[in-house]
Amino acid sequence: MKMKQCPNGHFYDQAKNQACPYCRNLAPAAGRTGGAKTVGIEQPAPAAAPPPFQPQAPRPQQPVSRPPASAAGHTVAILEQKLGMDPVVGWLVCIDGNEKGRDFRIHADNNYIGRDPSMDIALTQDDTVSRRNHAIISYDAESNTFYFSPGEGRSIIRHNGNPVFSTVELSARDELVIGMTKLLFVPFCGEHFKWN
Amino acid sequence: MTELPPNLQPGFMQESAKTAPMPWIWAGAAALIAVALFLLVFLLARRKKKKAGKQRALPRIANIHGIGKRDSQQDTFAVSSCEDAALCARKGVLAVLADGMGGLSHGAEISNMAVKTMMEGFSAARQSAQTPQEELRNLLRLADRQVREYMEARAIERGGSTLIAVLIRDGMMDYVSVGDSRLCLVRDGAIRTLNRVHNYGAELDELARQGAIEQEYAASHPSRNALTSYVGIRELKKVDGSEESIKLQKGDRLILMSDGVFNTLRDEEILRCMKPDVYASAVCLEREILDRNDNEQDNYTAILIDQP
Repeated sequence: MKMKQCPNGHFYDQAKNQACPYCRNLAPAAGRTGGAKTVGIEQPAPAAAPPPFQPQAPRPQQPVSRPPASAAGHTVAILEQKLGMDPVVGWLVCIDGNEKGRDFRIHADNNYIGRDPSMDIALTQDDTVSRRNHAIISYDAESNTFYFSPGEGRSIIRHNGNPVFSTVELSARDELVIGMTKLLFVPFCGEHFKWN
Repeated sequence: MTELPPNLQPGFMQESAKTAPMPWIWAGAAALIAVALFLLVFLLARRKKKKAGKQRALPRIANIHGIGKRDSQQDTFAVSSCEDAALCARKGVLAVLADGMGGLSHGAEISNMAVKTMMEGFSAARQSAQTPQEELRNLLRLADRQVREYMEARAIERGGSTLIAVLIRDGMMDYVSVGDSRLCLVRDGAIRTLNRVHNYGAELDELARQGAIEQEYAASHPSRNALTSYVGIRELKKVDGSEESIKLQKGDRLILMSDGVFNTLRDEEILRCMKPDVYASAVCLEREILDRNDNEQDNYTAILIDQP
């Protein structure tokens, strides 16, 4: 095969591709007029002046490639300010499914639920649960309230038997279904207790 | 300025003309000069050829790059050009991989910008007195500053990118890394991760080792995957990198990976794909990833570099 390197520093097989197949991935801004400068890597561009920016046409929110992206900044703050103090605010208890009998901790703010072990709440034994971000359970410390929201999962999640397409508020002992896993919601924070 | 050999200096000729003005000596001298010139040209040409042969032993490189099952490609990568072999031998080869984070297309824009800034900085820099470690860290700082300015100008609050860069020069390797992308060394049939990743889990594990917190707490913390250092963070304090250059051995293979590769394939599975040919190895890795047909497959990128 004949390997060729494109001006943006990618190697590709010239026999299979006329042009670099990777450069189109480089172009999130290519469709945008005026944004083309962001795509070139070795094109001479003034280092001081950032590429011109055109407002994007509104489009549906895309899934974030890595859920903790938003948590990243937050985690640093936690780490630096109150290490070891990310207190439990409630639990999910598996009442049916492959992990029946197990409990999962809920912490403040967003808890991403998925099959990947890196998820906040990892349902690793249930293959019908999407790897990342199938659903989100959130605790808002300010309003002292819990919420349940759909993520990017393939199957529909349920709250007390009803399909969930937008965020719902949770009450104690609500029943949640994610994939084949049934979970009971047990709050720790609420009317009677709140972390200060 | 190179000095001419004594027999080619003008003084030599004048002198011989004065002392021996006979025609046959003239002819002899001319022939001698011709032979000397011919030898010189021949030797120079040979030396050049030898040098070129040395330069041809540049690292062999292959890459894979795919969007997986995501809507956008937020990984970006690039390898510096070796078209000019002499320049390449002097400056070395720089490979950069960045995994962007952030909603909409910000993750892609940010990782594009970080890689682009690194590559431009590298190709613009003339050979300098700084060590390769300093060079890499300075390039990273440049990329970080560019990204921060970009984010501030567009009021992008959350976003950033991991970045891992490798510089190979004269058979010596250096790297710099922020975030959780990986650099692995495959040597003698074993795979070893060279960089320390910056996520909360790694920091908790370290604290647990020191006895500051309980191991169980560290192992079960829900935010283990969150990044604690990345390009675009408010203050880039934690940077991992080689403290001194690492000598590469013949047959060594370096792999730069985004998490879409090492979260899908285990180390053994990556090792199983390590064939003698670097391109065949890359093809194998990509096929392994695609064969999983995981509905959640993240963007995946890997750069494989063989030390000849």
